[in-house]
Amino acid sequence: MNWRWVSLAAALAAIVIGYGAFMDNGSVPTANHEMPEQPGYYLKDAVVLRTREDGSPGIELIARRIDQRLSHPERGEAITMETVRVNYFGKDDWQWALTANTGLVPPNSRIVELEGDVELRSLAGDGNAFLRTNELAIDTEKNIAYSTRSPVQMRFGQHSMTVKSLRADLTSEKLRLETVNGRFDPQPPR
Amino acid sequence: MADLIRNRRGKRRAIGALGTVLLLVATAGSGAAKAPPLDGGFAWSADVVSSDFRNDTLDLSGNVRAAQGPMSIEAQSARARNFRAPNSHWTFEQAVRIRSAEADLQSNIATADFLNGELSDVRIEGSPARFEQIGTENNRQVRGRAGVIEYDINTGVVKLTNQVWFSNGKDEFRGDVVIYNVRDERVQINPGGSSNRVRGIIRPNQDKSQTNSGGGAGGTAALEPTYNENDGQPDSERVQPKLATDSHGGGA
Repeated sequence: MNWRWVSLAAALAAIVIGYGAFMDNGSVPTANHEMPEQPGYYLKDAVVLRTREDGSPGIELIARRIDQRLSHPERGEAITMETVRVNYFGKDDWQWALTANTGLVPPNSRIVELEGDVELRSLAGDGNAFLRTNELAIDTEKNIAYSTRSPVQMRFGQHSMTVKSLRADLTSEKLRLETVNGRFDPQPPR
Repeated sequence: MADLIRNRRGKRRAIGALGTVLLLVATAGSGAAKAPPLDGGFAWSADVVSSDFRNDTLDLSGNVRAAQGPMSIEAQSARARNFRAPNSHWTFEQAVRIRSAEADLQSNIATADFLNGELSDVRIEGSPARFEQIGTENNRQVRGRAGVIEYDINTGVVKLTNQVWFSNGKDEFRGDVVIYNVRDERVQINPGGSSNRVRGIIRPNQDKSQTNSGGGAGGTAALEPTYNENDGQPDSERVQPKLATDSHGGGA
């Protein structure tokens, strides 16, 4: 079994789950029709940890700041995040970290838009697996992660890839890449 | 059993053959070519790549290309198994073309093994698969067709099996198996014997003085090719003289 691919899928799925939990836990203030756009809750140096049933850490969301901004009812609420890091702790000895400069959940949307030095990296094993791009979106309803406008740099094992478009179905665990240029390099010396 | 070789000028030579092996030295003075240099890694590209997370398999489609040094494989689709491992197995399909510094192969299906990231063995199948040597002079173009062609990148050995047609630019042979080394340009036809006869057409050299003296030990014939103008197709008007080998099943 390809644990690296599985763990990548699991890490992305965990982000979705974590986001869902984060959203569910946040009480949404009732917006008033006459109320202008105003801040909702905010968190500074936030660390949101979700544990498994056995108490072990599952997913950890760290952000320098998280803001909820309320707007008119038709626009719903938006959530912005700065200096985002999501740690996903696997049950085995693998661990993934997703980092981005900013994150945005637009009003009335379940899509998490990550932007700026987005990187998903394996922290366990040889650590020789990562995904880098400038923009990455995660559709929390369809359970799909996809690139938007930026090319994606990927490395898995000894393969490095430049991908124009990425789409990962986290439910079926299938990955689709478009306009791919890859290279197999010999194992780098440790 | 002996092979009979007749040429137009009335020279007849019986070549004793052990088995049905016919060894030809296409060009005595050509020298062995060096193996193509490889850089220890390979590049690949495709329009679309899809993968199942659970399997270490990639499906590639649209302008698939894998290249390593002077070697390249092009196709319209491919599948890579054990993709991330040092040793991976790739299958290419649809309009497959494999090129190296010494050979050009075309077919509909090809498989290739990358051992520690280096392309090693290539096998193509088709109806038929085609092989052509690169770098030879025009008047001795070596080419062949077969149901299956295996190309060992490291040794430069090309093995053609299943309804093989092979030409060294002048002479043509048909057999079940042809093994050709693109570096020393030696060819073996039906080595180890076969139930089918080797059939061939040996054309005389234009220059009488170049007529081969033929026959080494163990039934070896040395020929000097001249030219091939029929693009690999047998030419009924150029049938004479003929090579007839009537050995069967490895008999001598």
